[in-house]
Amino acid sequence: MYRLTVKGIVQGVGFRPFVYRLAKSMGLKGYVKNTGDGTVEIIIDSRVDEFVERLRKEKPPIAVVESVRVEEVDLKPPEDFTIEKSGGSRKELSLPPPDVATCDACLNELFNPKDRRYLYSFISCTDCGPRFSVAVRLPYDRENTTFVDFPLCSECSKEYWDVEDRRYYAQSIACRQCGPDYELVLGNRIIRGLDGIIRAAELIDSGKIIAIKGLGGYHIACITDDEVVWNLRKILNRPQQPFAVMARDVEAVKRVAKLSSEEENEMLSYIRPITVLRKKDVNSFFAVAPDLDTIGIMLPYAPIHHILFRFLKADFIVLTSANMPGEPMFIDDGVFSLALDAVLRHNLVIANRVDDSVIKFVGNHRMIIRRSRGFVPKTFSLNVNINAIALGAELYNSIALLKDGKVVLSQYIGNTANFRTYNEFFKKAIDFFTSFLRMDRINAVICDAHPLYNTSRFAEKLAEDANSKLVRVQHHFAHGMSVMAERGIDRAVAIAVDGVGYGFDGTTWGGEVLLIDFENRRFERVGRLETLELLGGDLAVRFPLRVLFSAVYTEKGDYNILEPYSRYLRSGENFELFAKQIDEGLALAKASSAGRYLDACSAMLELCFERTYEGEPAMKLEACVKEGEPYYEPIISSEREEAIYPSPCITEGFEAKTSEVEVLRVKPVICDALERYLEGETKSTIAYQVIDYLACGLAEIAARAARKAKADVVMSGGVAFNSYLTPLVEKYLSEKEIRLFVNEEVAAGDNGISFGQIYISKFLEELA
Amino acid sequence: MKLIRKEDGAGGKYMMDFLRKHVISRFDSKAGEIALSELDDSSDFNGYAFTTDSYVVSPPVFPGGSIGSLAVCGTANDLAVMGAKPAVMSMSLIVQDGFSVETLDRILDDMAEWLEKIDAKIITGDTKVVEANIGIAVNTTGIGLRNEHLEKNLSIVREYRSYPYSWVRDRGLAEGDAVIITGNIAEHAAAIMASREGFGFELDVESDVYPVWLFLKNALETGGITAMKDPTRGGIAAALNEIAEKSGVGILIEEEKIPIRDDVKSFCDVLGLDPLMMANEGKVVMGVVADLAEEVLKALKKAGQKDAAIVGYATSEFREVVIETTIGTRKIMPPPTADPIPRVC
Ligand SMILES: [Fe+3]
Ligand SMILES: [Mg+2]
Ligand SMILES: [Zn+2]
Ligand SMILES: [Zn+2]
Repeated sequence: MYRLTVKGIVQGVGFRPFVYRLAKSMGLKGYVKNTGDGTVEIIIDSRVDEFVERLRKEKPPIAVVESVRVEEVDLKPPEDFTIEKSGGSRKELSLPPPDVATCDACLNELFNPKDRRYLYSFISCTDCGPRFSVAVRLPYDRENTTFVDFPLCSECSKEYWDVEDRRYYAQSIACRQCGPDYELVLGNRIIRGLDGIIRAAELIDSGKIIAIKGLGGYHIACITDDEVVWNLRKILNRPQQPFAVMARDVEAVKRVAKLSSEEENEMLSYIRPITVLRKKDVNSFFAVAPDLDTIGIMLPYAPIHHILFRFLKADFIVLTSANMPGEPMFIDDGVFSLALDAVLRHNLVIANRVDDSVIKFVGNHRMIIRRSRGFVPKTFSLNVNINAIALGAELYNSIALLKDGKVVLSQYIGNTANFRTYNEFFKKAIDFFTSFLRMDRINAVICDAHPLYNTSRFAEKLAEDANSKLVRVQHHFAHGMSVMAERGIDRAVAIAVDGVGYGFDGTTWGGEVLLIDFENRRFERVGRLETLELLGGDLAVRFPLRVLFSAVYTEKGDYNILEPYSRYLRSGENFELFAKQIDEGLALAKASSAGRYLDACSAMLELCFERTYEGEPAMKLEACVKEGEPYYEPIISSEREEAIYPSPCITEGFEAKTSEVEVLRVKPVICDALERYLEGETKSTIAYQVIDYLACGLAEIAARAARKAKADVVMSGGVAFNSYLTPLVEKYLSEKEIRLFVNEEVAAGDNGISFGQIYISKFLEELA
Repeated sequence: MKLIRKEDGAGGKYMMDFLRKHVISRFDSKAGEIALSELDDSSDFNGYAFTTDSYVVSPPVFPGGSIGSLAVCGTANDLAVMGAKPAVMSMSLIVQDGFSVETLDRILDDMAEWLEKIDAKIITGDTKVVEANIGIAVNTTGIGLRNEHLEKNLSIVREYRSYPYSWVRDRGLAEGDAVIITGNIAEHAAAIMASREGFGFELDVESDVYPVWLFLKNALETGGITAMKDPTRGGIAAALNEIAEKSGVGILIEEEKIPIRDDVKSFCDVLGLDPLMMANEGKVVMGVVADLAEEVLKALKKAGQKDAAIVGYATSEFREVVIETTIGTRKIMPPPTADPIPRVC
């Protein structure tokens, strides 16, 4: 007899029934059972090599087989093959699987008029359906999910207990007799079941805006016609931010967007993320994605979407999460406060809010912009024997938890500067995951170095209450570490590019080249972008003309050349006042920020004068690029300043040492590009050149540092999503035979920063 | 070597940390009800309220007043927000060699004028002339008296709940209490900035420097006030956070109810300043028993504070100071970390 111990994502994913069916089909005798530590134990009597091979090859879609240990054991062969009761104590993490898009087998039944789940909106099986979003507590069994409200009817119960059935032990099983269902609230009428869904499809086709309760929260749906979408923008107070679109099928996607086979595979994977694709016609979907050359599209992933499209005439609908900007997505009736035409809702409680995930291909890299549905709560290995929790930064937040050598990254939480997001989502996610993971003891609480982030202030309290160590990791070091954690490397030169982050010197950073070397304990700011003055602090982030002005005025000493831009000033503003404010140093912040540099360029090219959503000026700059040639050579000066730190964290009695820092000048480029633009050079040419300048400058500085430190280069931060910047940095580095790693498993933006923060756990003892 | 930073004295979070670490660790003492470590606006001994404050401001004379009016009103206000009637003060002048005597006279005149209005006296003082480039710095220390308005207020509050304090304390706010701001905010800081040389902002605003006792006695007489602070450095953001933290309750503020002049608001908007964090020198932030809030508001208006407004309520739903914007989103109003404006008061 042989004992096989299978490690990986093997519980709650239909793994045991699969093993059962495989063993039966091979005529083997023995048993399979879940152990208490998250592994699966299989006993078989023969043909072990063939069995293991087929086990790896034919496993259920979301199961991950990390390792199979085989040992020979002395046991009496049983008569048959059986599934044994779970046993043992629970030592290792055993989380529910992520939510899985409806599988093909279920789709066949869904559209088979003879099937008892014909057009039933909660069809699912062992291989698909809601998982994380309905999990209340561990272990992942039906009574611990919100499906507990729906006792199985006799037919479902038969399927659930029948080892031969493809719904054997599927926790999300349901049917029209016993399961949850949809209803349409239309004025004071309620239309139940399929009729309600059909009516909803009609309403959408006729240009109405309706809310639809989905898997992880409420969406708002409407057709993509400009007029309807502009109206939606008014309701949601979202003047410009692109909306996600759901397309009927891949063919529809291909009609409107360029789709590579990699992108197609991602879109069709069980995660079904929103995928940012290049529009075929830049002017299409104008109101959906104003002034952008890209559009975020996803394919139907829940039965409700498939049923809707069966009745919809439209091939595309806007499907955006239902929330006011910055607030968490509605998961219950709060959606009614919006002025919508109807609400299509169901009666299954959503235990965990999960937004749609967003990915984008940048060069050859699949990058994650928002890591949520389908990804969460998959774990990462980090073999450190402490319990830690990292609370992220502020915008696009997530949290990360370390227990038993595994890191769990929470779903996308969003903007924690918003009180409801902070209070009703962030705090609850902490409660949920710490109790889910039974984190009775927290050794370290990790947060950003920014003293004013709600997350940092919460971390202080949490550390005090839990009597644990508080660790404040500098923002851009954390970005770099998020790539290092993915790769498991301890030494790298990091290019960290984003909008804002609190620097070691109390100023704003965001265009950094850092040496992060845990092996030799060297932490250094080896390079940075030239400092820009932010006129009015956050105000300059919102109105990028202010950044352009201060770049020009401080470089040239006057602002005559900006005369043509005076028509973009807001009421009460004038350039004279701006100049005085700079001269007096009044309400000025300083930032070495790639985001602000791109903002200034965006204003220079008259692309964006008010930022209404995160990244808007830079995205519009990117959208206006077609192609181009390099034009500017890097201008790098060396400045002596505090730049060598004892650790990537801000600590008590912290002392930095001075060193030569390579500063990539940006003001001369802004001024020169401005002149050329005013003399008639095209927007797209200049847009390419200013991005190329940033890429070659950062690559140059990083390359020098990488050679010196004999390290690879990693790149992270929200600006790394730029379709041109990251591939150009990669190109310039590869010309110097230096490798670049970017984030592939977690978000490069602040949605992934908690993952970088938690990596510090590995070094806490050495740094102490 | 560790050096003092500007933030260590800016009235925000860093200053709190600094005080806890260096000052309170050495002198956590009290003579009456209120300990130094409680960082109330004044402390007390033998039934008297007692406080001190030093004033540095550039320019020393500004629209609506001078460092002299600040020195008298500021110290009187720290007494008044305890419910104490300002009675006597000391004065200490530190003047730079070469300072204009004419300006000094103007400053002292302002002091005399306000002392008379609030019926208080300076009964001791000191003067030093120094080489250091400081212009002028003034310290005043004040003593305040218990009075019938305070007693009446406390007895009315106690009709509603137990209030175990003998002064109006920062920590007195409780769930449900209304929060009142007694007038338009940010005017002192805005006036000083607009008047700075070379700027020439077209903003016609004067400092709001004023002794709040003159209207507080009416409000106390009406009764129901449970907590008070004068929102000077760090503005109403700092004052509200201190009250919330010491009282252990949250505060929900409606942004559109906060009294502020339109021109001051757009002045702040153009420069990128946050009016909630800007200094006031004649305003009070107070908590009032909900049932009595309208009455107290009426009394304040009658006493000349016509822009006073109920801006929000204390809540036990959360512990933060939260501001709800006109479009319904909520954000946390954090205590300021540093003076957002360089050295206005
Ligand atoms: Fe960032
Ligand atoms: Mg005070
Ligand atoms: Zn299925
Ligand atoms: Zn059923």
